[in-house]
Formats: sequence, C-alpha cells, structure tokens
Amino acid sequence: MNQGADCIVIREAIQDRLDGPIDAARDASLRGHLERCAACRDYEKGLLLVREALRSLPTVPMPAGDLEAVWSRTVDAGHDRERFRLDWRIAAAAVLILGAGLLFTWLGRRGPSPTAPSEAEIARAADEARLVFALTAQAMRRTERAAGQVLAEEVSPAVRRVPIRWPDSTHAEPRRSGT
Amino acid sequence: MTSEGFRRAVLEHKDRLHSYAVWMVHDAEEARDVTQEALMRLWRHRESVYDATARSWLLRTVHNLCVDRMRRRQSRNEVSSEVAPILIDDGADPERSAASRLLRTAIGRALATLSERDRAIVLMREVQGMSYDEISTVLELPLGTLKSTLHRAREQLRQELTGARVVP
Repeated sequence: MNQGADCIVIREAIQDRLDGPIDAARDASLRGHLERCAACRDYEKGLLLVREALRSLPTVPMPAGDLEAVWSRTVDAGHDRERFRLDWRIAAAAVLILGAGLLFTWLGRRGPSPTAPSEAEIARAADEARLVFALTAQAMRRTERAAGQVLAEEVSPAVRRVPIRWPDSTHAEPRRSGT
Repeated sequence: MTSEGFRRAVLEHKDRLHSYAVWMVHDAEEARDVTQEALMRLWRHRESVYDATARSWLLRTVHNLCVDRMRRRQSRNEVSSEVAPILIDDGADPERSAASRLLRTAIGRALATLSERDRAIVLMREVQGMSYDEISTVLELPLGTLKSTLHRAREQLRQELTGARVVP
C-alpha cells in the first residue's frame, strides 16, 4: 500500500470525522481523495469496523451477590450506626434527667424546714430586712430633696426636655370622641 | 452526597463500572474486586463527592484500581479464560451473526495488546461514550495528548484486526 503525503493528511481527517463533523472544505477534500484512493477507503472501513466492534462489546452486569455485599458494608451498615448513635443519645439524656432529679432531691433535703427556721436564719433575715429599709429611706430622702429643688425652680427636671408624642391612633381617638 | 444519593449512584453506574473493569483488566475476578472497592471508597468519601460528579469520580477510582492491579501482575496481555466466554456470548441477541461474534472476539484480544493508558482512552471514548472533556478530567490528560493517543490506539486496533483478517 503506497501512502503519500496526501494520505497522511487525509487519514488524520478520517480520524477527526469519526469524532464529529469536520468543516465543509476539509470534508469535500476528504471525499474527493477517498474516490481516488482505495487504500484510504480501506483505512476508513477498517476504523469504522473497529468502532463497531468496540461498541458491540457487551455490558457485563455486576453480579447481584457483589451488590448485596456493597449494601451490607455501606448503606445498611450506616443505618446500624445511626441507630446506635440515636440509642446512645437517648441513654445519655435519661442519665442526665435522672442525675438532675437526684440533685434536686438532695438539695431539698439539705435546706431548712419552712415551718421551723433556726435562730441563725431568723437573725440573717432580720439583718437583710434592716438593710432594705435603710436603703429605701435613703432613696426617699433624696427624692424629697430633689422635689423641693424642682418646686423652688432651682433646677429643671430632665423629663421636660423629652418630647412626648402619643401614637396617632390613641391621639386621634379622644379628639373624635370629644366632638 | 446523601445515603440516598449513594444508592442512586451505585444503581446507575455499577454495571458500567464493572464492564470497564472487565475490559480493562481482562480478569473477571479482579474486575469484581475493583468494582466493589470503588463503590466502598465512594461511600467513605461521600461527604466530598457531589451527585453530579459521581460518575467521573467512580470511573477515575476504578481506572486507578485497575492500573494498580495490572502493574502488580505486570499487565496481562491476553484475555483470561473467564472473560473470553463474554465475548462470544450472544446474550439477549441470539440473531447476532458469526461474523459479529468473530469481530467481538478479535477486538477483545486486540484491546489486550494496548497499553494501559491507550486501552483506558479507547474504552472511555468508544465503549462508555464519554466526551473528550470528561475523559481529560478523569485521566488528567491534556486534550491534545488525549486526541493523538486515541487516534494512535484506533490505528493499532485496526492493524490488529487486519492481522487477524477481520478487517481489510
């Protein structure tokens, strides 16, 4: 089989045409060459047969037993782990609730009886009450002094500088009801 | 990828992967091992694989596992006795002619003569019907190299079939 320079170029075009359309000028040149060159016609025929043979190779299905093995080691095994994880969480929550219950019971037993406070508890409560009364009295004295200053117009209360607006609805209602 | 996504990917691609492994390693037992291993790996890496890229991911994994196996046994250049019956089995199409069976047997043997990479490219392009871009991604090859390799591999297969007097 004599293979000229043209044949080398044409065979490249034959290969490209197997992969998809080639441009019109190249295709026309290819067709013209194939009409004249029996060797290139055989070449193209051979490649087409190779392609046909490759495409006729049968699909070989994965054996069913192998697929079962994959499921058991992946998705199904994953479900077992998920179930274990869920069980573990439920158990942990139960232990926490039980622990909290025991703690509250123990603290309740340790605290004073509501019907019979000890002398120390009564003394501590009295001290706390005295402190509250003293702070309240101090606050009332300060308020009285401030009120005296406002009435004597020695100071102006900050509240006057704050603009007060009623919401439109509540502002409008009394006007309507007044007319 | 969720568990459900994994299940869908396995059901959609398992036969394609197994076929690829069979024609790649030419050994039924190893093809089964390779396919199962690839699917197990997908399960282990499912957090980082998207549903849309599962096919490419699986093919790359199967391909790499096949190459490892072939290198370990120094590339078998023949069709094993377990794979040969697949080539002449007409399966669901008993009407297939003797010429067609002859052609399939010849191409099965011719494939075994290609290098690992050439065989992978031919299988992905002509048998699996993958695009150049997808093959380029899976095999991490530049498009130019991929195209010239495919042309050379087709030519080698043509010569093998010519030698076997199957094609002119």
